Amino acid sequence: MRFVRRLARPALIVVAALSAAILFPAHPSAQAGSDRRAVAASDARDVRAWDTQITRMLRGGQLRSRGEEADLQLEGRSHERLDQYHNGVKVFGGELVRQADGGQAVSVFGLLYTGIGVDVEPALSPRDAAAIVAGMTGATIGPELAPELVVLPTDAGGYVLAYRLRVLTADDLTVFFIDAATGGVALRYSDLQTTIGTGQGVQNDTKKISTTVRNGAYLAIDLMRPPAIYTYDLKGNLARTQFYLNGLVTLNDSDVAADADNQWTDTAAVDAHAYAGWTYDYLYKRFNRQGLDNRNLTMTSIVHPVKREDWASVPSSVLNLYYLNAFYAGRGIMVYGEGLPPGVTVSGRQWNYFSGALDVVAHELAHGVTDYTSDLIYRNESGALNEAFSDIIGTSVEYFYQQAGAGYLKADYLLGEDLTAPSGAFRSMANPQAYDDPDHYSKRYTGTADNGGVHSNSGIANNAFYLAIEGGANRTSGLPVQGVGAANREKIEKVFYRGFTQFLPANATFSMARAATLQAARDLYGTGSDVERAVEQAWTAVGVI
Amino acid sequence: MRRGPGHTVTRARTVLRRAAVTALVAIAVAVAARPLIAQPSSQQAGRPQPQPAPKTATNPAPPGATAQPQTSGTKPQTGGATPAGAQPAKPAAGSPQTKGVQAPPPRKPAPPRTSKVWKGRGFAVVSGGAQLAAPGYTSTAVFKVHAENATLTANATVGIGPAFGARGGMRVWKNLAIGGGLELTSTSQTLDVTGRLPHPFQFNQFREVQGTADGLGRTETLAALELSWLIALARRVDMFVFAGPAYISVRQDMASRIQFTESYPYETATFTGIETTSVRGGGFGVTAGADVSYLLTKHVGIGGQLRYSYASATLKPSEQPAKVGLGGLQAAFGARILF
Ligand SMILES: [Zn+2]
Repeated sequence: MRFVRRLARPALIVVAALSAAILFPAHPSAQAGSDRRAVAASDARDVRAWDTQITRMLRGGQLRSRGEEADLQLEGRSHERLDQYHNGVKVFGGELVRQADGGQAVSVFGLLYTGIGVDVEPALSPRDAAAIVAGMTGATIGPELAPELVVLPTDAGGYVLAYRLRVLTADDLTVFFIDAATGGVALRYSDLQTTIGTGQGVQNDTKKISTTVRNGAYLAIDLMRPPAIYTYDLKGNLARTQFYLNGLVTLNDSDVAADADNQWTDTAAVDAHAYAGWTYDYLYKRFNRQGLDNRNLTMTSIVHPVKREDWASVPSSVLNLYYLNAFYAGRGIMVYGEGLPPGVTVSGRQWNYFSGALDVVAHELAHGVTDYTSDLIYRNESGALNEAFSDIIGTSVEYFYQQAGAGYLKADYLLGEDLTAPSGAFRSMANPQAYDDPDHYSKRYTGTADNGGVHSNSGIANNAFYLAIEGGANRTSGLPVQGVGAANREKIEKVFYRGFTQFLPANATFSMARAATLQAARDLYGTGSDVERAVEQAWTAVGVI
Repeated sequence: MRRGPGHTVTRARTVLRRAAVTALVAIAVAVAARPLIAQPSSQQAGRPQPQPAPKTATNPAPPGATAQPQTSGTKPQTGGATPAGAQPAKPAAGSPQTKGVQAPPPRKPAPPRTSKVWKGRGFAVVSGGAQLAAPGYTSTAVFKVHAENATLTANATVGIGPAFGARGGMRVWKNLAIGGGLELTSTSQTLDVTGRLPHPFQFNQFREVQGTADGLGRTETLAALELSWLIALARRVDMFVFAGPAYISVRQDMASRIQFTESYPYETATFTGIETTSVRGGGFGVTAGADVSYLLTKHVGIGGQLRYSYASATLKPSEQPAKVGLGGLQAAFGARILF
C-alpha cells in the first residue's frame, strides 16, 4: 500500500508537469538563433581573411564551388560562385562570390546563414513532395522535375528543411518549398512573375494592371490575357519612336514602362496599359473576338513619345501628332500623344496624356479591328465609316465599364472628354453639329481636307448609332427614331460590329453601311424586329437610304 | 502549411508528451502487477453497512459474493469492513434465512447500496478512448489576391479521434477527492470553405468559390482541477462523478488561404484546396464526467469514463480572430488504481 502511495504522488506530479509542458510551450522563436551574415570584402585584409575562411569552409563541406568563370570584361580575372551547405544540404540563398585576379582573390561578396540547427533527415521523400505539389496545383509532374532538398531560411527567422520544386501550372510558374518533415508549404512564390499591380490613372483613379517581374522590376507586360500586351515608355525619344514605327529598330525590356514596387505612378502608362486590356476584354466578351486580328495579335502601346517640356520648340506637325493626338500605327501598335504641360492651353483647354481617355484608347484599337476586317479605305465615305466604327467602339467600351453620366470617367456619347481641362471633347455622337460635324448625309463634307472629311462625316454614322439606341429625332431631318433603349445597347453594338466587320467592303459607302447593318439586325434579331426597325429609322433619319 | 522555426520545438514537445503518457501507463502497469498485500479490502472497505449483520451470523458470504452482501461483515462498523485477517466462515448449505432458529425475523432485502464511506487515500486513472463529438467553429481569413483583399470563410467540423488521459485525486473528506485530470485528444477537421476571390483586372468584382478540405490536424490538451465523488454502484463497481474548471489548449491547422485555378476571362475561379497554418491557443472552461470502475483486485480495476468539457479559445490564423469551441464528449476505457 505504501508502495502504491509512493507511486501515486509522482504520478500526480507527472500529470502536473505534463500539463505545464503542454499548456505553456516554449515560444517557437526560442530555437537556436538564426542569422544572416552579409559579406562584402574588398580591401586586401578582409579579402585575405575571407579567402582563408573560404578555404576552411570548402574543406569542411560548408561551401561547395559551383565553378569558375572567366571575366569577359577584364582579362585575367575570374569569378567563382560558392554555395553554402549544411550537413550536405544546400542552404537556399547562402552563397559567396569570389573574384580573383591571376589566382589571387580580389573581392568576396555574398550572404551566409549561421545558427542552422535543422536536422537534415527528411521525413518525406522527393516523390512525396512532388505528389503534394501535384495535388495542390493539379499539375502533372514528371520524373525529370526532381525536388531539391534545401535548408530554407524563413522570413520569421530560423530554418526549415524543405524540398524546392518549380512547377508550371495552367496560369503560373510557381516555386514551392515543401516542408520535408510535415508536407506543409513552407514558402511559395510565383516565378513566372506575372502580377497585378495598381496605379493611378490620368484622372487619379486607381486601377489594376497586369505586369511582369523581370530582373527585380515590374514591367508593363500583360501576360494574363491571351495576347501579350506591352506598354513602352519611349521617354521622350521621338527619333527612337519613329525608328520603331518604321521598323528600323525593335524595342526591348529596357523600353518597357517599369515601376519599382508595382504601385504605378506613371499615369499615362497605367491608363494605356489598363485600357488596352479592357478593350481586348470588351471585344472578347461582347463579340467573342480574340483581339485585333481575332488571332490574339500582340497589342503594343507607346507612351511618352516626346517630352512635354519640348512642346513649344517642336514643329507643328510633331505637336499635332505626338502631343495632341493618338493614332493606330498598324501591327497592333498604338501611339498616345503626350499632351501639354499643366497650364498650357490650346483651344482654351489644357491637354492631358491621350491614353487617359478610355474611349480614345478603344477608338485607336478599333482601327486595328477594321484593319483586319473590312479594312475600310481611310478616305472619303469609307474613311468616314472607318472613323465612325472607331467612335462606336470607343463609346461602347466606355458604357461597358463606366457609369453613364457627364464628366470625367463617365460613359457618354462624347469622344475624348477625359483628356482636357475643362472637360471638352473632339466629337459628339448625340449632336455632331455641336462640334461642327454633319449629322445628316445632306450636310456631308465633300472637300479634300482630312482625307475627304473622315473625322467630320463620321458624325453621320455616329448619329445613326446614337439614335438607334437612344431614340429621338435627328436635328437636321427632324425624323423620329424609336431606339431600342439604353438597356438594349448591346444589340445595336452587335449589329454595327457585325455589319461593319463582316459585310462592308474596303471601299464602302454610307448606303452600304445602312444595308450591312440592316442585314446584321435581321440576322441577329429577325426581320421586323424592333432592332431592325430602330436601325432602319436611324439611317433614314440621318439621310442615308 | 507554413511551418516556422518552432518546428523542432514542437517535435520535442510531442516527444515529451508521449514520454509522459508512457510513464503514466508504466506506473499503472507497475502498480497493477504488484501482488497485493493482505490489507482491508478496499471494495469491502468501501461497503457501507446500513444494516450491520449480527455477530452470530453463521453464513457470511465469501468475498466476492454478491447475493447478500449485508451478511459479510462480522463487526457492526459504519463504513467499516471485515477487519484485517478476518476469515469469513465457510458458507453453510441452504438459505441463510432458513438456517438459524435464532435468526432474526425475515427482513426485506436491503436495496442496492449507492453510497459508502471511502477510506482510501486516493485514486489514479489512465485511459484511452475516443473523442466522440466536438464543437465546430467558423473562421475567416483575409489574404491578397490580385492586389485586392480576398476572403475565406471556413465552417469546420471536428471528427472523431483518439483520446488519452489520466486522472488522479486524493480523498479529502468522506467520498470527496480533489485532484486533476489531463486529456490529450487528436482529431482531424473537415472544412466547408467558401471564398471571394478578386478579379485580376477590375476592383470589386469577386468570384465565389466553394470547396471542402479535410485531414486538417487538431490536438487538444485538457488540464482540469477536479472534484470527484465516489459512489458505489455494486460490490466491485464504483463510480466517480467529477467536475471542475479546466484549461484546454489546442494546436490545430486552420485555413489561411484558398488555392484556386483561373483562366481568361477570369469570370470564375475553381477551388483546388486551401493552405493552412498551424495555430495555438487555449481557454478556460469546465469539464464534468463519470467514471465507472470494476475492481479486479483491492487496488486495481478497469473501467470506462465519459467526459464532457467545453472551453473556447480565440485563435488567429490571420488578422481575423476566430472563436473556437474546444473539448467535447469523450469516452475512454482503462486502468484504475485505488490506494
Ligand atoms: Zn480615329
